[in-house]
Amino acid sequence: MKFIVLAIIYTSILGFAQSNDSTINSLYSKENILKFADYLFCEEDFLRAAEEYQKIDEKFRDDKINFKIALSFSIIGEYSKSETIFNRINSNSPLYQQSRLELLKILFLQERFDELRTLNKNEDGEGDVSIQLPIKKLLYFSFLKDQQVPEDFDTFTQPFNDNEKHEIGLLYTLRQNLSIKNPLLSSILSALVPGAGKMYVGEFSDGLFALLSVGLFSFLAYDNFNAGHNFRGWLFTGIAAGFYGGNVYGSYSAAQIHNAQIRYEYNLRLDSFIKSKNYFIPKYDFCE
Amino acid sequence: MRFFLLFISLLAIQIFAQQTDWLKWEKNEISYTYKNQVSENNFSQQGISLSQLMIESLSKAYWFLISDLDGDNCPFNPSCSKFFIQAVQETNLPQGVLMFFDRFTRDINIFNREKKYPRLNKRYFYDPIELYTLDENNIRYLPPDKIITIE
Repeated sequence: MKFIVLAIIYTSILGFAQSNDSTINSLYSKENILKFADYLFCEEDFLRAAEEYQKIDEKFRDDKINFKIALSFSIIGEYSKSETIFNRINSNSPLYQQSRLELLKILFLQERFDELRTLNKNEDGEGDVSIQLPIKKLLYFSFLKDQQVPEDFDTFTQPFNDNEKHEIGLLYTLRQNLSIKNPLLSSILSALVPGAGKMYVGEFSDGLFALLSVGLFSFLAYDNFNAGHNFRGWLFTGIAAGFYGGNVYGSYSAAQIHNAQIRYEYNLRLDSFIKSKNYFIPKYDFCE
Repeated sequence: MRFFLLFISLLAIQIFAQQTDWLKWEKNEISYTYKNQVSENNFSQQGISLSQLMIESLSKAYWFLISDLDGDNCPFNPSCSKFFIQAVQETNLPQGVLMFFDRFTRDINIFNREKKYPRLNKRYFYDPIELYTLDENNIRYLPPDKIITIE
């Protein structure tokens, strides 16, 4: 008898602990799920926070919960999910303006600059100044990334405050003076002097080895023809021609790779700056 | 004692029932056999076109005359012969040949490689053909301090 009682008590405890019915187990009530999700959100465990928030039935979710779900997805890089939820936030909601700003941030992160400008144009002048200014900053900043920098420096830096102006000014100048190399010029230089194109893009040792390889095989070809070894002469001529052609071709691609590297390093600096500024989005007080 | 045994067995059943991730926790079988590159190479020439046969022959000749004698010392991934095949497959024979000669020139340059190429699996210098097809959209620059892992 005692066994049976013990077994019943034990299995009922297990059954209770594992039940996700909120009427049986209060841990699964909306309030407690929200509490736990808020805790995860404030601990910056955004994936689990989003999952917890989504356990709340959709009809009981208010805009704040939806906003937090979308924000969590945005932070972890699930942009399409985030975008869908931000778009659902009603224009009467107090979080509507912030959701538009977050949408612009997603467009910026996904480098969908044309959409970013269209969305901004549609909503130009709407909302309070505290939101309009970050939108303007993000929009102007996107020009640095998109390589369509406006000519007038003062107009360009106008929305930014004094602290930001300094770094923005540096990035602006850097953008205007990126050391982009011309691939065609690089190829022509290598066609004239083997390896010169590689040296032009900063690959000095590659250029030197190209010069040496073309020079060596050309000399071997010349020497063998002179000695009457025609087969070897043609063989080395072929190899020298291969190295020569390869170097002219490689100089073009080396310039392209150099340009990609310059853009990568520039974008790294841009990203680091805008991240440090939280994409010009004011901090939320969800965890205070 | 019987209570205790009953309790233990119920607890064990309970824990056993919750353990589902056997793949993660089971014993991992690791092979320490060194890969034989000769057996990995496919020398079959059945069902391939004449141009493919030429490319394969050139590549295999390069592998037989240079790579195999040199041993497993090519510092790059893909190796020069594989780079050649991939280049021809991705572009065409003349462009593939030019890409190969350019790669070979870079291969004989022993200076500053670590400042130019990212590492693949902490060993090889990663130098994929996508960087050299002259299509700017294909170029994904990888910084040299990056370590790429491919299974």
